[in-house]
Amino acid sequence: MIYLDNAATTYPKPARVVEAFRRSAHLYGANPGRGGYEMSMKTSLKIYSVRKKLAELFNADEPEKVIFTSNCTDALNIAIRGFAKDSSHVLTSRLEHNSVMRPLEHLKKSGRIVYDCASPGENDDKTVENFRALLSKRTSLIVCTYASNVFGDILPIRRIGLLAKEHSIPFVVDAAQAAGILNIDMEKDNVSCLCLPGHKGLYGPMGPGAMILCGDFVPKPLTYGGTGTFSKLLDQPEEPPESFESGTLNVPGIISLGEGVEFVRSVGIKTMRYRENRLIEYLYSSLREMDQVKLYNEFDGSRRVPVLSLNIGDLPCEQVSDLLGREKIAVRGGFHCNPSAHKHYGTYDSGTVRVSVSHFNCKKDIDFLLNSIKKIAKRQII
Amino acid sequence: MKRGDILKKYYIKVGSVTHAMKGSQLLSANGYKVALRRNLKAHSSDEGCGYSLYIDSNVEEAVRFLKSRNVNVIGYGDVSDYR
Repeated sequence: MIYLDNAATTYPKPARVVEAFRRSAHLYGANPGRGGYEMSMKTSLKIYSVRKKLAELFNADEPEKVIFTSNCTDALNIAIRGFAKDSSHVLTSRLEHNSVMRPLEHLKKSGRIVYDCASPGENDDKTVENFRALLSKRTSLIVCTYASNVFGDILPIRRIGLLAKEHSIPFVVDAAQAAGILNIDMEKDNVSCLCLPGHKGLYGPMGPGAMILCGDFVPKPLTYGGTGTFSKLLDQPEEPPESFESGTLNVPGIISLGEGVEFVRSVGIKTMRYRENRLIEYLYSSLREMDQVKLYNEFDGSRRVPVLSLNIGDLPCEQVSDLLGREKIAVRGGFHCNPSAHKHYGTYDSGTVRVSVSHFNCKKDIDFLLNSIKKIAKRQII
Repeated sequence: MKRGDILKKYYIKVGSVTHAMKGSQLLSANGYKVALRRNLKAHSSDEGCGYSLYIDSNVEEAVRFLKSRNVNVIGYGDVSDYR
């Protein structure tokens, strides 16, 4: 199989990640933060080391502000529902995944907030202007994606973060397609809260995600329960990370995620991004020569993550992805849980076929895909 | 982190296992010999289970240092007075 659905989850995982997952069941099999015996303490220490790695990678101010969650969507739910004030306004973009849009829509339909979606402009100045125009005195939160999961657009996060800072409101960033792929510096980017999956650009296993806080803003927790401390008190502890981590952590997942972070650091984000961008640039320039292929934006590696959406003539995107699947090529057709971005790009009625690469893809994979797309376009595969 | 040594003179009670790990590493890096254990008398305390750091000397200085690095210290004192 040629796997080109890395925006959904990266595959394969590095050998060191798989090995860490296996070993963690043997070496770190006790519950962290619960017991005082050796294996529990060793497991706690190992979990703490992953917090440190993530805090360093994203330049968050303290390891204890790295909060482990079930996934990126879980992190975004905590952040959005925990930060948005009742009767306030929330600002987001038109490129948001349902993991942002559905919590916002839920809060809106519950009568708790109103929200607006700023359009990405033709350049960063225009995008920032669009965000600024929708800010009001009632705005209690800005939340947006770092990079689109469908079309790859990178939003000017640092400048949007500055807007939030000027208005003294928290800035939540969905880094589902950016963590491990772009250099993210929470402090310089003025990001109060970074939500990320462990299993995409950080090459961890499916499961753990993280909500990382930086600065003074702290949301209210959504989940209450046992944390291993203050157990005689019925009130939830107030200090992160435990205040957000009731119940047992996904220990094998988190430990393996730590190995994923080490893998990314050992190769280097810059190196990975360069390689992946070259593959998508090659794909883009080759597809541009094919009359039947519809592309929706220029691929400029400085403004996009390595994700490309396409259609072939009037063939339904689901049929194209199915035909490619029969050629043993894994891509994703449909709406990618993101009707907002499809509306913005005019593909709401058709959807697209999305191709996304990882460190483990090579030019040969792209050539095989191009050959199969040619055959589909010429109706040689039905 | 040295866990075996239970004969330390002072305890520093912290807010969670994460703060215990952080505090332990910070103190060790600053020359303290530190032991990390569950709270000794959780049953008789108001708050219940938790973690403490144990050191031999300069407890007030250690507490000031930990607080300056945002470690959530919730109590400290002589081990003989521990509750």
